[in-house]
Amino acid sequence: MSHVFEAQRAMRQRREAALRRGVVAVLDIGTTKIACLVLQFAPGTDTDDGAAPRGLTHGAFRVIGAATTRSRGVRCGEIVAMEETERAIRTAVQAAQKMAGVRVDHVIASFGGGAPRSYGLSGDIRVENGEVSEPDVGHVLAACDVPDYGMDREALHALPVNFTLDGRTGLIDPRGQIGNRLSVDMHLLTADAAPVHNILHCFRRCDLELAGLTVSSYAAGIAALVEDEQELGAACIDLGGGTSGLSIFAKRHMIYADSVPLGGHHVTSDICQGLHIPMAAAERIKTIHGGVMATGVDDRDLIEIPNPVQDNGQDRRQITRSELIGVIRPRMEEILEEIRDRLDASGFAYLQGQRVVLTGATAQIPGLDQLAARVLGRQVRIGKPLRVQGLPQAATGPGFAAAVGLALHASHPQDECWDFEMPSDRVGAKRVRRALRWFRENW
Amino acid sequence: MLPVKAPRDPAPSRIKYRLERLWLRPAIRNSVRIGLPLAALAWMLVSLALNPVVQKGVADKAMALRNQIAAHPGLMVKELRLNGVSGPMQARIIDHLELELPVSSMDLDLGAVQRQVTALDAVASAQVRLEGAGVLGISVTERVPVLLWRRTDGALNMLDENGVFVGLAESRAERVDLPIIAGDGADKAVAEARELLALSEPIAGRLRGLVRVGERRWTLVLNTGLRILLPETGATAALARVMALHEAEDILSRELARVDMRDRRRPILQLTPESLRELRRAQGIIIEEDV
Repeated sequence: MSHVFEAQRAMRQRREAALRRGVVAVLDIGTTKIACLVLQFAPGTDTDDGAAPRGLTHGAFRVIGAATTRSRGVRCGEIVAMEETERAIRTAVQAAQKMAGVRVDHVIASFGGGAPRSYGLSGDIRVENGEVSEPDVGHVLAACDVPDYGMDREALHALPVNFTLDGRTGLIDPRGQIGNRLSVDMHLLTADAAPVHNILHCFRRCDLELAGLTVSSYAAGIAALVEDEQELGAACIDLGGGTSGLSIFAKRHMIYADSVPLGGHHVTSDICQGLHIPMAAAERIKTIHGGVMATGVDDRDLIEIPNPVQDNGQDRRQITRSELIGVIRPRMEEILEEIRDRLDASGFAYLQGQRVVLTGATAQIPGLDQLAARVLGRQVRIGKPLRVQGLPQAATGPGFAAAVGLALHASHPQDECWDFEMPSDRVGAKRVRRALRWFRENW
Repeated sequence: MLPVKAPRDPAPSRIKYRLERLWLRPAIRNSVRIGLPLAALAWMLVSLALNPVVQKGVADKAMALRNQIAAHPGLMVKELRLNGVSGPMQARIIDHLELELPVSSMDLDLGAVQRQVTALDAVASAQVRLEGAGVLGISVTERVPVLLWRRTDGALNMLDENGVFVGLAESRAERVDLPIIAGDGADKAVAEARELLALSEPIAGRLRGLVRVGERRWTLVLNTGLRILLPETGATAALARVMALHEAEDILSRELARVDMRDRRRPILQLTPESLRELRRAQGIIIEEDV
């Protein structure tokens, strides 16, 4: 795990550098769109000092550039055509830079694919001096037994979720407390290595430095869940174009993440096939007339659909809205059922809060909250991202939850395993540094 | 009809993307926006300044402007006023200066005028100043000739008290008031010569002049042909002794050829042949061959 540790730590350092410079871009690589926000951090705002308030404080930065472009070369949240994706990223970054008027070198990115998988780890040590110190936290994090998640997967997040000190559990920060045994519950999130490496390489080709990589469901959860929901426990479902991400939060930490390779794109292709119309027309009809709850009025609501061979007005076809709903609804039900299975598997049922928040662009289909409530059997609301300063009106919809969440994540990242010093025997650092650390620990 | 042409790719090319990012660097942008025009301007100015035609034109313009200013009547010097100069000297100085009056004071190099005036032998020092109202004042301190120096080639030089050449004298008759010295290097011992002359005041009427011998010692020549040979050092003391002898025994009035004072212990007198014969005869020693 040490090479992951080093890579993530390097990313952290780049992020620190970016925050010091005051400008960082966040980039959400989705299946249908790539959204880029350029953030400017208030000068002199040290986001990582201990005095900074924890939680989602979003006054520390403002959005000075925002751009969205159609995503290309991305399927199910993963890059399938490097060149195309690179062009799309260049388009988005350039437009955002132009709006911001500053050059951006550091990028924090999120992506939806990679089949994220969550592991709950726990570690247990004896506290050395009676008082829990920072090295103790590092020790206990290092003591977690890492499952064999496979060679072809990368650890994206390792979040210490819960600390337990001598039977007292639910500690957020055990440092400075007195106790004997310190144990930790850690949430390790892994993703397929290939998509991750593709994204890294893609940014390298765009002359950008990656200062952080997250899964988009995590970012969407940060933005779309209000504080109470994060505290008590809630699930955020990010209904995207090619994937639908699921993240579960409790006690302000993400404790589970998963994704379903189904999304709005599949709805569009269903309409395309079911009504025999081009993809672009299907997308248009879906966004303008789409719905999932049929009413009596919908039988009389006629929608004109273009002819696939474009016969200049002859043979114009019309369908009723209920027919369209009849195409959309089964697919949405399928997606929601798939998510329900994942939710059930995650143990979400044991949490205090049972709130489900739908976000992502597909969540804008009218009536989806009622359908989701019926399918999932829980309270459902449609979540829009938090308002952040300077965000243009066009980027405040549910589709930008991941991008906004990334911005919040960039300004107030949660402590991860690699923020703590690892004990010297676990990390293959430079010899001098190892020797220094050994001295520090023993004298 | 389906669109045949592919829709335009909105993505920037890699070159364009890189250029745009480069352009967003403040250093690059400022240097291009401000530095480049400045550099071009500087280059243009330098190339203009190095162009000989332009250089000549600018110089001509500047010269014309300067001349226009210099021609202002308030700056014109119309009169030359010489202070402390005797009549013939005044003419010499004016001839020497060759100033074409009226001349603008801007064209006048006072330093050069001063150097020119002091370059004259008869001038010890000169002060040159613009006195206002178009007057150029030159205060001159003349060198006063105190000696005539007969050179080996026969020329008569007038020397001042420091032995500096003042001017040529046409003949002895021109300056009968001045004592005369002769011999190579006599001008370098003018001070000693003047002391000797002062000492020989009682015989001034009979003194023909002083001769510098071998550039080291003086000989006084009297008009009777009597020569007083003085030593290299202590010449004034020796002469004082001679004068004392003269006062006591009137030796210089006797028939002597020379009074040699080079031996400090005693003066050596040489008689003229006639007086020697007279002496012999008086003493009764008659030399046969003389008869």
